[in-house]
Amino acid sequence: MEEDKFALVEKIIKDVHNVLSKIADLYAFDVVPMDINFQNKSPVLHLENCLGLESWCVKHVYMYCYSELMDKYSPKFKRKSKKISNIDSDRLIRLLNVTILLNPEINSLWNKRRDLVLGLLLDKTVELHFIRLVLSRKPKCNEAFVYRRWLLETIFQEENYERNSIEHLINDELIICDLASDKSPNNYHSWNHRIWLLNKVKTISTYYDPNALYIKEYNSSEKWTSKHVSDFSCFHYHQYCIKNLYNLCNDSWKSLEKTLNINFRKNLVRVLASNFPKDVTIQASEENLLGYSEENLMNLLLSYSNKICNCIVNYVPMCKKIEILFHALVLNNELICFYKYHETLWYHRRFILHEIISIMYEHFGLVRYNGALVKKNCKICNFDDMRQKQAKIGRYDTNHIYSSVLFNVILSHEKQIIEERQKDGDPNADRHEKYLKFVEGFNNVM
Amino acid sequence: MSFKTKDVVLSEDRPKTLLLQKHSDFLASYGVNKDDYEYCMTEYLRMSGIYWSLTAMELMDQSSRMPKEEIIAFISSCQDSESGGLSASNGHDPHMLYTLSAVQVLAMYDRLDAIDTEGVVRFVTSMQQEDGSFIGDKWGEVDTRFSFCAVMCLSLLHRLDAINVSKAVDFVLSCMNFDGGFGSKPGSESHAGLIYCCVGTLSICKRMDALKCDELAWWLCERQLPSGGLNGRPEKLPDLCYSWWVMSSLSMLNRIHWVDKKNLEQYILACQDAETGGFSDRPGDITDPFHTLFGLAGLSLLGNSSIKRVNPTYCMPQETIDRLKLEPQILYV
Repeated sequence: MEEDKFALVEKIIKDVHNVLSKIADLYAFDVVPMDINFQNKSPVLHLENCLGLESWCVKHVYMYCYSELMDKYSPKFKRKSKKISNIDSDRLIRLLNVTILLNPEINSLWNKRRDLVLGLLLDKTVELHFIRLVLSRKPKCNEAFVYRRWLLETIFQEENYERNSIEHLINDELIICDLASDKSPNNYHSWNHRIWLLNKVKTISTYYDPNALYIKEYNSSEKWTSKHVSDFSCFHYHQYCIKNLYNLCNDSWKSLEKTLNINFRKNLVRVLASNFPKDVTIQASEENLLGYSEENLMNLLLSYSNKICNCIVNYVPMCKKIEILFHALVLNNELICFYKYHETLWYHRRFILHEIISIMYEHFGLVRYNGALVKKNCKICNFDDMRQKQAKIGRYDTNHIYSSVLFNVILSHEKQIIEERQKDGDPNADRHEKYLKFVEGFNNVM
Repeated sequence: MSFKTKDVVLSEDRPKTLLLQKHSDFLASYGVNKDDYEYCMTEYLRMSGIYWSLTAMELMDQSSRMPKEEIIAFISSCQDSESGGLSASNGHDPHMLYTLSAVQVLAMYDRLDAIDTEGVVRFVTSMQQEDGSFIGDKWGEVDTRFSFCAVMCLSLLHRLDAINVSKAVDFVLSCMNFDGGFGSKPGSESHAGLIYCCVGTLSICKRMDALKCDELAWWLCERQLPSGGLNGRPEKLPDLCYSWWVMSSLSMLNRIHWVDKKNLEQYILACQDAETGGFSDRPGDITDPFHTLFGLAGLSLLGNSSIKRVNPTYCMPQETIDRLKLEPQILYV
C-alpha cells in the first residue's frame, strides 16, 4: 500500500515537472477542490495554460516532498557534500517546485533556489515565470516578491543588459503587480514592489528615462484609484506618483498634459476663482489668471514671504506642484461625492491638503513640529537665524499664512465640502473637520 | 455609522468573560494533537510559534505547562554556528525573525546561556547596512521589522553598543510618512504592524521624541471600528492582532485612553472560542497561538487583572523586562 502511494506521488512530481517545462506559456496555478480520487486519473491538471492539482493528493505530495527536502537537502546535509551535482539539482528543483507552489511562505526553500541560480543551475527568466505562477495563487506572498526583487537586482547588475530588455522587464513587472493588486485588494506587497521598481529605474536611468514612466504610472494609478475607492494601498501608490511629477521638466510636463488631456492651469484657476475670499478685491478674472506668469500667480496666492535671507525662489516648479495638487483635489471631490462614505478617499484628501499646506509653510520659512510652527532654515542658502531658531513663532507670522489668498481658498473649499457631506450624513466629514483643526492646526481659523 | 463600513457584528451569544483555563489547555495541547501535515506546513515559523505560546502561558502564569527543557534544547539546536543566527527549525536557514523569537524565549526562561550569545551579536551586527537599515538574512531584503528585531534582540543581551544605534534610528525615521505612521521601507504605506515595530525601535533606542506623536496617535485611534475591534490600515476588516500592534503603540505614546477601551475589550473577548479555547482574528474563526497571545496581551494592556502585566515594547511579561533591568522609553505627556 505504502509502495503504491510513493509511486503515485513520484508520478505527480513527474507530471508537474512536465507541465512546468512549458512554463513560459503558463499563467496560473491553483489547487482544485476534489475530495476523493474517484476517476483514478492523474491529479495533475493542465488546461488552457493553467496548472492545477486536485486537492485530495495535496497532503501526501506536500509531506513527501517537504520531508525529502528536509532530510536530504537541509543545510546540515549540504555541508558534508559541498557541491550539488546536476542529477541532485534536477531532483532538488522538482521537489522545490511542488513544495513552493503549495506553500510559498517558506523562506528557506526560496533560498535554495537562490543558491541554484548563483550556481547557474536555474535560469533567471524561468524563475520569473515560476514566481508569476506562485503569485497567481497567492498574490499577497511577500516571500515571492522578495525573491523577485533579488532576481531583478542580479539581472540589473549584469553589465550587458540592453535597453530593450530593460523595458521588457519593467513592463513585465508592472503586469505582475497589476495582476496581484487586482486579485487581492489592499495588497501591501504588490504596491510596495511597484514603488521599489520605479525607485530602481531611477538608479539605472542612464539607460532609461524615468519621466515617461512617471507619466504613464501617474496616469494608470489615477485610473486605478478611481475604480478602487476603498483600496488605500493603490492610493498610497498614487501619492507616490503625484510626488514624482513635482520635478518634471517642461517637455515632460507638456507630454503629461497631453496624455491626460488636461489643462492644469485652467483647472487651478477655476477652483481659485470660485473660492476667492470675499473681503479681498481681487482684480484678476479667471481669464486674466490663465495668462499670469508662474511668478505673478504665486505672488497673488502667497504674496508675502517673511524669509530673512535673499534667496531667489523659482516659482515655476512651485506653481506646477500646486496645479497638480489642485487637480488631485478636484478629482477627490468628485469621488467623495459619487462613492460615498469611503475613509480611503478622505485619507487621500488629507495627503493632498498636507502637501498644499507644506508648500505654504515652506514659502513662509516655517515647519510644523509637534503641533507648533517653528522657523526653518532656508533650504537654498541654509540661512539660520539663531535667535529665532526653534522658537515658537508669534501671531504676526501666522497671520501672513492665514491671510494669504491660497490659504483662504483652501479653507473655503474645505468648509464647503465638509458642510455638503455632513448634510448627507457622512461621518467622515466630521472627522475631516476635526483632523484639519487638531492635526493640521486650523483650530484658530476654522 | 454608515452601512458601508467594513466591520463585523458581534453576536449576542459571544463569549463575554475571559476563559483563561480554556486558553491554557488550548496552548498546552497545541502541537501535540496536530497531524504531521499541519506540522510540516508551519514548521518554517516554529520558533515564533514557541514564543507566542510561551509568552501567552507566561501571561496566564501557566508556563509550567510548556516542556521547558525540550524547548531549550530545540533552540540550541537551531543556532547556526557559522553565522551565529538562529533558524525557525532544524533544516531551515538562520533569520532575524527567528533569532529574535529564540532570544525572547530564552530571556523569559532566564537561560540565555543555552546559546552562543556572542554568535547572535555577530549575526545581528552583520545584518546592519551602510544606511543604518537591517536585512533579515544574508540575501539582503531590507524591512523595518528587521530593525526592530535587531535592537530588541541586542537590548535583551545588553549589547546595543554592538551596532550603530543612531544610524539605525535615522533609517527608521526615514520611513515615517506625513500621517506620522511607518511602513516597511522608505516611502511605504503606513501599516499598524510596522508602526509598532518602528515605535518599538525608538522606544528601545530612547528616541521617542523624534515621533510626530499627535499625527500618529490620531491615525492609530482611527483604526477602531464600530464593533470595537481595530484594523491595521484604512477600510480593512478588524483583526484581533491589531489590538496589540495599535494598543502597544498607543501605550508607548501614552495615549491609550484615545480608544474606547470598553468596546475593544468586548471585541477581544468575542474572538475567544468557548469550545476549543484560544483566540482568532475575528469572532467565529479558527483559533491559533498567534492571536491567542495578542488577545491576552491586548487585555493586559487594557488593565485586566487576571493576566500578568505585559510590556508594550517587548511584548513580554513586565517582570522579565524588570529582571533584565531594561527601561524602554515611554512618552510622558
